[in-house]
Amino acid sequence: MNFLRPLVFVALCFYTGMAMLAPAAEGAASDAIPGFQAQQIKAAFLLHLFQFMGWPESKDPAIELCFLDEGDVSLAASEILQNRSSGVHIRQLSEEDSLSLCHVLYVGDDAAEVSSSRLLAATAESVLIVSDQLGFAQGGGMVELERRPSRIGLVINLPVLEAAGLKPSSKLLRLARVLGSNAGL
Amino acid sequence: MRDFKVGKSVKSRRTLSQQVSQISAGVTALVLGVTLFFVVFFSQQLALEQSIEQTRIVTRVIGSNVTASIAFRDPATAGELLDALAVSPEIVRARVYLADGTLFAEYNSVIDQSPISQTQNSLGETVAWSSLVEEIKEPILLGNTQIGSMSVWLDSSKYQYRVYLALLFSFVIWLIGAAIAYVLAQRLNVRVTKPLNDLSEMMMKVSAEEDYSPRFKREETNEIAMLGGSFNQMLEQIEDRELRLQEAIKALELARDAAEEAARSKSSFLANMSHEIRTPMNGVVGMIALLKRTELSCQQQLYFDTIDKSAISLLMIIDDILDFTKIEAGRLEVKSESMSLKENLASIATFFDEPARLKGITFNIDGPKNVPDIFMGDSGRLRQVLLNLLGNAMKFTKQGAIQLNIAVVGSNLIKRIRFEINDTGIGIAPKDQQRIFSEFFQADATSTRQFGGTGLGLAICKQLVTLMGGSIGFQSTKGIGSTFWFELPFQAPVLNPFEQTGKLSVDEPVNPFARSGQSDLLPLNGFVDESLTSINKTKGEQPTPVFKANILVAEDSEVNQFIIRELLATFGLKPTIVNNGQEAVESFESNPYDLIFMDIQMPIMDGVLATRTIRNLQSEHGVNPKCDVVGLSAHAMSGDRERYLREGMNEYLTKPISITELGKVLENLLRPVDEMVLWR
Repeated sequence: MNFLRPLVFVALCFYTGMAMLAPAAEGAASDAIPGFQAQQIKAAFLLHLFQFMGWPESKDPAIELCFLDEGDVSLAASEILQNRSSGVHIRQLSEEDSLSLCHVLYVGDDAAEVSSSRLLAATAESVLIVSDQLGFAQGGGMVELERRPSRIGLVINLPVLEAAGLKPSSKLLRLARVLGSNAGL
Repeated sequence: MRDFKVGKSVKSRRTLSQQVSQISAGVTALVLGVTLFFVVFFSQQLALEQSIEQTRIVTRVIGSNVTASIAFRDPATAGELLDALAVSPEIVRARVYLADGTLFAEYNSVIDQSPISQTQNSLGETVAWSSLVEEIKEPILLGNTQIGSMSVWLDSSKYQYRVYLALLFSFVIWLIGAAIAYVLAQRLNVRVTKPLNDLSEMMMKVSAEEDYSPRFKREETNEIAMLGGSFNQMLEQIEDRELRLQEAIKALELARDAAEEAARSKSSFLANMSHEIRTPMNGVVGMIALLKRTELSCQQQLYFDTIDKSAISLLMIIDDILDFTKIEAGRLEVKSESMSLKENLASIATFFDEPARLKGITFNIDGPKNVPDIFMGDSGRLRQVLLNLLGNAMKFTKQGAIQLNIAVVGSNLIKRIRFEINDTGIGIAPKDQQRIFSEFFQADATSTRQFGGTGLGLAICKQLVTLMGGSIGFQSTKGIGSTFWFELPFQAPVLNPFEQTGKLSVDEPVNPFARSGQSDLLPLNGFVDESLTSINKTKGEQPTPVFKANILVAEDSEVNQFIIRELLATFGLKPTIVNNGQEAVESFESNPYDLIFMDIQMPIMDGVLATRTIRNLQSEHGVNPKCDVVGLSAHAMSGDRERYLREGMNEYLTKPISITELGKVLENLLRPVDEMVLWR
């Protein structure tokens, strides 16, 4: 999955090369909520995130949660969805799949690199791009799953979201560390 | 009228105004109290419900706000959100649970930590909340999915406290309200009760002073004015009636006084007349008695007998009238002393034997075989009744017989002596039988002319028998005869060894000057003076004793002075005669008299006072202590004798004075001259 990381960094010019810290951080995150693995938490976050987001009217009401590869977060999400009917559909994207179908796109640490043009296009299509890469939001990403000492937090680059036509719920914003317009593209 | 109680009863001293004020204030206070209570109660209830509802809304809002916190497992943010509840002091705790029931976030009111902790067990679980704490639970939904729940605990004790505060405040309002209501009610009531009070006061005044002239004045035209009007009307009527009543009472009093005066005058007139007539009659009878003792021809003897009878008849009538006036005045008394029936009957027999023989009719007394001889009673009055009834029988019987029967009747316990007089006289017509005992009644006018009499005899008999506690009655058939009867209660004599039959009763007052062996024979009022008769019978048969003594006679009537002088002369006595009591006392002081004859009624000083003075002189100054006093009077009323003996007299003689009686008195009080006997 590591192939995605340089791609995103290149595309958004904010790649900071913090990926090496990921294993340690995951360990810490897994301690945040006892009995849950970090990937499970992340999957749950992804599954909840769209609920606190105002979508443009053009978007299909059927939520598509897209993963660039079949990583452990994707698996965890699938696991969660197995037990309930939430109207959320998980899509594993291939290289040629259009990102515009997605509502939420998770770009993991180990995800295959994705072309910046493709990401930009997805942004234009109001796709919420979420990543757990360190400095993702600071680097112009939309939502970053941030590792905190005892849990996983959210960092939201609000100008980027608003530019993409997405309106995050105030409830979400209250939880998250929100980056101002100067932090964005 | 004076007992009529107005207004102030002991039971309730509250005025009507107070009562009405209290009722008004009470009703106001009750209504206000109930209203305040329900207002406070429901407003507090409503406030609690509203608070619960608001808290529910807040819970929902916060629950909605913590959805993201739950979703992204951020209890810190949830906690921050819950901290916003601090603005509501009633909320003591709030908790957010995850869907699986895990506690996610919690809020505890700082102030109200303690009561909550008290309701937790050692495990920190809620076991029982205080009844003062309400729990509000709301689910937390994310989309359609419940991702958790939120519970908020509300401390209703805050409301309880507010309820108490509100109740206290309400109570103060209620108190003030009731007081104001009372004051206002009293002010208003004064308008109503003031006229009533005025009216009541006026009624009391009228009642107390019995002055019916004031009137109740009122300007208004309401019910009270009507009441006042009615009261005024009543006052007018009462005043009018009072006036008429006073007039009627005055008229009645005048009439009563006039009637009483008339009755007094009548009685007084009768008594005076009787006395005035009796006094000269005493002279006539006395003179006849003296004349009959002189040498007379047969013709003269016959004339004098006729005069004697006429005089005695006249005395009888006068005595009847005297008795009757005494009975009417309630002054007649009957004695209760032991008496001998035999003695009484014997004297009656001697009285009627001769007239019966002369008329040619049989007179019989059916002697008392089973009747005790001695019993208690008034022998004089018994004789008077018997003589009256027998006299009537004798008067109205021309032929046949007169029978007197005596018997004891009645039960063993209540015995009565029955006297029955049967005659074969003219009888009484049925129409007259009803009124036979009425005074002044006689069977018919012709009978008065034929038989004479005042018509008082039977009336007096009835009164006397009634006075003695007995009853009287009769059966009669016109033309065949009559039976008059009377019954007297039989009383056994009080046995006293020192008392002789017919003597004074034991309770007689003791007179130190009275001597033993005195006679108590009361002269029979209104009937033939038997002593005179007996003198006639015994004329020339009995020796007259001769005395030698200094005698004083106090007598105002010249006729009587002459008679007594002549009577005393027959006993060899030559009295000094004075005209009144004062002269008697003066004479007594300077002369050593052996005996004084003292008339009771005299001018200047009466006999009673003179006797008292003489007795006083004797006992205190030792003036002629052995001198005796004998009373003389035409009054022969019951009790007179006793009275005069009490006043200090040794003896008492009734006018007309009989020679026999005088002789007895002289024998008792003076020592006769030895061996000197005058034969007549």
